[in-house]
Amino acid sequence: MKTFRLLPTHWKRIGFVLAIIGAVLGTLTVFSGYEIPGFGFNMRAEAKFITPMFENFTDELALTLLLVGLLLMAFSRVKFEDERVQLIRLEAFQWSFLVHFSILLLANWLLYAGNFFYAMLFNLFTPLVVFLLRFHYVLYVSDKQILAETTEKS
Amino acid sequence: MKNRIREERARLDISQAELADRTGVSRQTIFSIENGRYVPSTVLSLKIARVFEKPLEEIFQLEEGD
Repeated sequence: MKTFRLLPTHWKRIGFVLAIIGAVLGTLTVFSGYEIPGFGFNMRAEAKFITPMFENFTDELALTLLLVGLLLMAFSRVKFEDERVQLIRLEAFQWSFLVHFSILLLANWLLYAGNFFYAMLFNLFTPLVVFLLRFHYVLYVSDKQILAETTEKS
Repeated sequence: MKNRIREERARLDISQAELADRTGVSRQTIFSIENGRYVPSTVLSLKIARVFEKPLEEIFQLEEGD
């Protein structure tokens, strides 16, 4: 059976590094208003209400690094990618969708204005983050069980 | 779905790792199938049956509720 083509294993590490840099830069940008000095240009002839003349791209860079990093981590092979791992992968994707849309549904009723905006900003990443956490957790638990039962028998 | 992989391995004296190697999956997958935690695909089931040189139904049997 032809399955979805995944990236080689080493891309997971590269993705992890990019995601960490993106997360740190993004946190600094969102919570401290940090901007890389001079990283932008004048996009408009004049400033208007919430759109300034000079646009700094620090937040765009942070989001790009974080998303590309998480995507590389999610779509790279594990050491031994076989049909059981593919099933764990699929189940983890189902979990991630469930969590993502549950948060959206809850935030829709419980949060308003700025709080809703922040919740949606963080909810952007839940599909990939929940997928990665669930996928690696199930793999870890299954490996641990096998090790425990093998040790028990020997 | 029940299976007789453990018994067949014992008959041929092959390890989980060797069976995994010959069928192109991980040892964890063979372990999970033996313990009923994972139901293999038709292709993998046929590969396992081929290693044991037996028909599929002698290795895998449906259980009540399947």
